[in-house]
Amino acid sequence: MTDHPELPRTVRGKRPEFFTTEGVDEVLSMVLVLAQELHVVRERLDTAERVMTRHGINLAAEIEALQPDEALLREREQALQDFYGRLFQFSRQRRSELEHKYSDRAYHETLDKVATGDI
Amino acid sequence: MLNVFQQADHPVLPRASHDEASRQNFAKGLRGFIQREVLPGLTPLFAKTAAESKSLGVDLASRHDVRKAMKTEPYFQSYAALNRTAQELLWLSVVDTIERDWPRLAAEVKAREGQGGELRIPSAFNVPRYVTALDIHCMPGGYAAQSDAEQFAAGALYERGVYLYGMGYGGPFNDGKGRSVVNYIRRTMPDFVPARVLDMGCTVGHSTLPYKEFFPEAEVWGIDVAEPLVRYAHARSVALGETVNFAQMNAERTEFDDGSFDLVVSHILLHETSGKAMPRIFDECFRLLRPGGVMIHCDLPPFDLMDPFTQFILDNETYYNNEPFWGAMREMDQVALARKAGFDPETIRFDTAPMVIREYAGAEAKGYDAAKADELADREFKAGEYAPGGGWEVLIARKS
Repeated sequence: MTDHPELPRTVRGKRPEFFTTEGVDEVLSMVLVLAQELHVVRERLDTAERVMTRHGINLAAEIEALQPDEALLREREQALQDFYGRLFQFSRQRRSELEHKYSDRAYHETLDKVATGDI
Repeated sequence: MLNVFQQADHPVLPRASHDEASRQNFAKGLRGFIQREVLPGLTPLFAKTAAESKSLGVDLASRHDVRKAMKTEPYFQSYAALNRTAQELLWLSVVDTIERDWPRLAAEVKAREGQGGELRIPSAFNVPRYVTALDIHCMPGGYAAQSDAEQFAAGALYERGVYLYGMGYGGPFNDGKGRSVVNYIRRTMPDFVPARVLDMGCTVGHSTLPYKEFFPEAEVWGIDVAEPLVRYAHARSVALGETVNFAQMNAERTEFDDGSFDLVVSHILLHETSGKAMPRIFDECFRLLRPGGVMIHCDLPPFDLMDPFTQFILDNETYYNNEPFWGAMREMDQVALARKAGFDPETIRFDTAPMVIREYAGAEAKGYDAAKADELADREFKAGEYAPGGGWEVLIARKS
């Protein structure tokens, strides 16, 4: 039970497609929502720095001054490489398909084989 | 110019959390960026497209020809898609705030019941189809959304959303259009002091309140077809200390007596009606005015004096922002409608009511300083931008 009504989040009326390639409109919308959220996080961090300053901690300067030791460098590099992996998941999958010669035809052949009891 | 205009706070304004405010500001800033940095590219794109068409023997003679040629251009697709998405982000960023702030908002609205001016809500009312067929300007749920039993959420959404849409150019209370028309009246008709004023399609009373401010002795009414808007308008006017009356009524046929107003106005109403409703509204204005009374509609300029490219840019709202009457309205002969309604032909004219951005220079709300006001007031208007440089288009007619 919430203490507020559920307000509409969709709009009466068909949304136009702007791009000829299907799905691009959807991706653009998602990218902008992510950009909006990135802006929110940056602004929140900025606010946090300013609040800390009021309490005598110069967070921004300490962030600049932090010298990572080798262990931290390794930890961060690993995190970065993992992030690339997630970011480029799509090309990771595509490369695997090229290497293993996965294709739509092979996929459908598998469907047929499974259905007809060949495998 | 960095636009840091901030809406003036009042008790019934939805109050954003830190992150919600960032999201709202992102949407406002994105609109500004698109019209400043992306929109100008459409002009050379059109020059190229028109030249290519011409070389094939095709003349882009109408706004429809221009649209057909432009909508396959990737740059235009990006512009239009960005604009649409910014509009969606804008409304959704406010919906979140209203839901979270609901208990406080509902209490503030309730606390103002029975105060200030009259609030008239009939027990049964038919909201016209032209308002409910599509959610106009992509506002989720539309003006007459039934989603809240308290029936004011759409008003709260409009109050904050339209400020963001207008990027603050309408002033800290978003009353720029009302102020422009009031100033126009005072400048061109200095002896005209209306005793009763009606604002048709008043929404949340943004433009209605300036009439009470400048004509304090006047009885001022705002009417709208949407209950949540007039209910919110009433609470908002009480919160801002103005005694103005609001009612849920249809401008095509109100419940007021013949000859009961000296001044009937509307602000960006006509383009949200229909081809059938507009003549009726003009007739109703004539009926409601006493002899000598004045009708002023502040809305979009007609298409007839614009080139096809400018028309096409403005007409994007029709196709991409759920504004079904935006383009067609600009082709209506408003002068003929006023004449047919009975207004004195000698008095019917279009004019420009200059923007009042300079008036906000001393406003308490943040961001409104003299330098920015001058910069805005002096700039040239480009089609497709929200803020007009010169002013608002007004149609004026007097009943003899």
